Amino acid sequence: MISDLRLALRSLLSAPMLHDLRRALRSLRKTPGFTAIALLTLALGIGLNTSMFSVLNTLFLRTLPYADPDGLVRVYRTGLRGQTQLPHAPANFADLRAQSRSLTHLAALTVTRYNFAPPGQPALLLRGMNVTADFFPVLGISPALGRVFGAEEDQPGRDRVIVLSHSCWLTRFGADPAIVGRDLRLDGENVTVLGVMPPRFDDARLWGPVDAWRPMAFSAENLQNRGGNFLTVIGRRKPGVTLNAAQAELSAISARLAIAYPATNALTGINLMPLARSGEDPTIRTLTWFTLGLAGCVLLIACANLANLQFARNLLRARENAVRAALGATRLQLIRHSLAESLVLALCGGGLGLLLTLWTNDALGSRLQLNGRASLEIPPDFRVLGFAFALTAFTGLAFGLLPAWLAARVDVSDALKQGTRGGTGGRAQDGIRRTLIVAEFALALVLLSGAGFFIRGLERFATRDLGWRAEQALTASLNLPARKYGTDDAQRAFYDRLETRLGALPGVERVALATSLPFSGYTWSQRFVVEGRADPAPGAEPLRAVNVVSVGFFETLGLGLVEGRTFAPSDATNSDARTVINETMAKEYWPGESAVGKRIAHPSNRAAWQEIIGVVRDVRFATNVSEARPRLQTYRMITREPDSRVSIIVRSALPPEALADALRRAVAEIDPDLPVQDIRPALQTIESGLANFAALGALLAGFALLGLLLAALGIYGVIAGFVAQRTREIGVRLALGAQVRDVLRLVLRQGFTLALIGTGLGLFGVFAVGRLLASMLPALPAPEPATAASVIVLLLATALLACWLPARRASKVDPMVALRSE
Amino acid sequence: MITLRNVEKVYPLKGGPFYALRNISLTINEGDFVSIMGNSGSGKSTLLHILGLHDSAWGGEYTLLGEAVHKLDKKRRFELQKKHIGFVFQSYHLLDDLTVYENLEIPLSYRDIPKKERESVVCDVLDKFGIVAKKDLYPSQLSGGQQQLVGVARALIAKPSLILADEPTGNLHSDQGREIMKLFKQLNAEGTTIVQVTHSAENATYGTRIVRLADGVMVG
Ligand SMILES: Nc1ncnc2c1ncn2[C@@H]1O[C@H](COP(=O)(O)OP(=O)(O)O)[C@@H](O)[C@H]1O
Ligand SMILES: [Mg+2]
Repeated sequence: MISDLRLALRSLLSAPMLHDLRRALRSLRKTPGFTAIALLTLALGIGLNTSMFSVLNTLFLRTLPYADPDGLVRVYRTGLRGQTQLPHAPANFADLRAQSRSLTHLAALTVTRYNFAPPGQPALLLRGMNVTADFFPVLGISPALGRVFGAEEDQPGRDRVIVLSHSCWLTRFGADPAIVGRDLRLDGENVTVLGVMPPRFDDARLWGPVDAWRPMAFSAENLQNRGGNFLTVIGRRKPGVTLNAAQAELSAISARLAIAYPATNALTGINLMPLARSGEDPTIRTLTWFTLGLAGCVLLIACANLANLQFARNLLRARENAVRAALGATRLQLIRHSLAESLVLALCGGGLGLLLTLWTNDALGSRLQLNGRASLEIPPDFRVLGFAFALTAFTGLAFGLLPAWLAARVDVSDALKQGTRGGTGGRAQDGIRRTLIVAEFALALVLLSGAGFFIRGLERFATRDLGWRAEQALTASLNLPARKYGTDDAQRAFYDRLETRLGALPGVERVALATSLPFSGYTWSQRFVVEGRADPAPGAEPLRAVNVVSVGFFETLGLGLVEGRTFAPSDATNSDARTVINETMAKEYWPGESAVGKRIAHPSNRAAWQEIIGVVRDVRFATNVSEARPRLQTYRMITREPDSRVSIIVRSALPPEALADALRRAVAEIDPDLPVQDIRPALQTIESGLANFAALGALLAGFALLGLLLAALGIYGVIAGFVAQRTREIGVRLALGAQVRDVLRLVLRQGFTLALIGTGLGLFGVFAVGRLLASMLPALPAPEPATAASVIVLLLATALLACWLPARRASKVDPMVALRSE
Repeated sequence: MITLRNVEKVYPLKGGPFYALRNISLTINEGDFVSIMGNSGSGKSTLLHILGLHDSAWGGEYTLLGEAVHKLDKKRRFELQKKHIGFVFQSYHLLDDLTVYENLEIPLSYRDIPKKERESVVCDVLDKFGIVAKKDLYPSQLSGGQQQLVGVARALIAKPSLILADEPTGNLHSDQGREIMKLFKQLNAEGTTIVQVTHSAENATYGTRIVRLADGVMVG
């Protein structure tokens, strides 16, 4: 068979093939019904898969738009507790940069925001990055206008320069060609525009959408800092240096630093990764593959259906093939003819599928978000085209080869003797057609359960008890510029005025400030030791999330108190710092006893014990699908540790969106230069945080319905064929005393048995999909048997309905007519 | 046993109504062996299907075993057919996927006869027809004559009092045909009423009576 296959494939490229193609086209035109159904099935199958591949391609496969992207690396720090993706402290970065020979450039960056005050307009925020001067040489892209900054500008005092992104230049400055050299009012100082980057530099994959870049300009003090790790570090390998070689060199440097500075650097190392892979969200990545896998199931079902249609067609052509064979056609020629038809169909279907992809990519992209960008552009590139073409060829062969092969196995004398019905190999074909239906149902069940588990899980996730109340809450964030609010006292004073002012707004019930909001997770964590307990190894201390909050935080969120008390204003001036912890931490560290009164401290600052004054309920992060169980959460007072980035939470009696303007005005009255960002009802933040998942849920539901529909069509076709083939038999049975219900039962049993076997086999898939989802999205409630049961019922009911139609027809067979056809 | 009075069968064709049967009045007594003869297209099969209660769209009166068929509803006709009539087809119409044994069992399975009883009935018939050795073979493994033997056995298995056979020997060699005719003769002697359609004058001689049709009308 393999050698025949090879021959067949080779002859596909030969001249007589053209003739076959033309003939295939003609015969397809003669059966428009079959052709239309086949094309539709193909277009949907290939289109969906190409679309899913486009998403995967856009997110994970597309090369970065930088010079020689393969040479780019992300430099991570590793920690003792298995962390592999930690940031760096400035002094360590400076040492790495000075000592590394395997990297040509090493750049550090932080993602930030700039308060931009255009003259005569309300202040707004630019999404920015502070980068060292190496940043642009590392990526190797020249500006479209002006120049980028160099080492001279990357110093304190000389850093009042900025480089704009193309989209920022377009939207904020109307693509002003004279922008270079202009001064902008940024964070309360004048900053000169040096240049504008080209459009290709606007790539949101690694750092989200960026409006502008400014020099990092480390201060001398900063360059001594080895303990504060906040820098993202990227580099470019020297040509000819492998990733492993670079890794080895940087590891050696890091080891030397660990010896030189054990207090901060002990037990940390270096982890190098290709830059393209570093921006990937592993959850999104596996989910995308998962979705592509399910799309593949749809295509397989489509292929099975098409193969069955092709079998039915070949059955009708058995006589024609027999005659051709009698007239001297070789088997190869017969295969080629049948295969040509499948390939022509697949090509046309693939073309339509590609058109469909353009549309679905738009529809899908508008519902997906990437790094805070409201929609995702999913452009088809050559890789997508190649994928579509490969898929088309695969599909054509997948559904065409076996039917072609069997159709060519004619026994001439038999076929011609048996008359019109004479399909040789009919029994073998029947077996294959049934097997295909069984497979379709197994796959359809996998699709249905995948979609069902995901959608149901998401629904339960979205409606679970968060431990706090998101209803009637409005949130916003501020970024206090260091120039104006450089001291703790300035920040404290601002908080004070802000809280008072917001509290006085009509409709506002409570106001709180915090450094983190309970949506995706608390952004900051610290190690800790417990007073009176044995110390873990240095660097191996447990981590706790820290949220620095105002006194009213717990009441404003509606976060219940379990034990003790929450903060009071007097705690701000107490000599010892005080902290509130969550239930999980209390249970884990003080099981069976009260945590109140116990003390914890940072391992490097054991003098500063923090007394636990209360235990509150666990905060569940509303949009975090990867955190299965709540971790250790602690709260400290914002008046003791003011921060320049602060979030506002307002609980109101009014609909929260009605307060947005009042809130913005209240802030402007305190400081007109200070933009308020991300003003949104909490529920809206949650909804948009889960929007990608909701979109995915809808997509999976679409897949599942399509799979169900195709499987139903498939079983309908096969059972209808069964009835047509057996009209005479059914007539005989009726003549011999069978009743309508006997015939119904006969036909239904044929179909339903196939559906049942398929469903039974699919159960393994159901199990696997459930396990897979649970491991991909641990925070999603575990798949429920009830969901599996209901999709099974749906599938079998559909099968029954699909078989019912031909069964009805069979029961209406008129024995007179059936038997007369002698 | 059978009385037909002015039975007619009309096909409403495009060119106007077409009378496949017209004015058929006929009495068949219990124990008769009737041969219906006539040219192709004269209406023989049509008549046989009416007699066999497969067809219900006809005019006239038909009394079968004292029941006025033309007044019965579908369900009652069906019961009547199940109880009293056995069919033999020209092309046997054995079910290809079933063995000889299973083919014989079909009519019984549609008559709610318990499995045990079915077994003994089928074995009896296999024995009587001398085809015990073939019981596990499939129809395709039998000769035409043997297949028709099974066809007749199947028609008989539910012990009908009337057997209707539409050209039962049409596909057989004359030797094989004679076998079947002898069988009919014997069944007739045991009391079964038989109505057969045949083209062969020789076959007709096995019967007790001949009904001739021409263009849907009885001509003797
Ligand atoms: N469904 C039908 N529609 C119209 N005419 C029919 C139909 N069935 C049979 N006929 C016609 O009725 C006549 C009698 O048919 P039939 O009883 O089969 O003849 P035969 O004597 O050969 O068995 C024939 O002329 C045939 O063409
Ligand atoms: Mg006839």
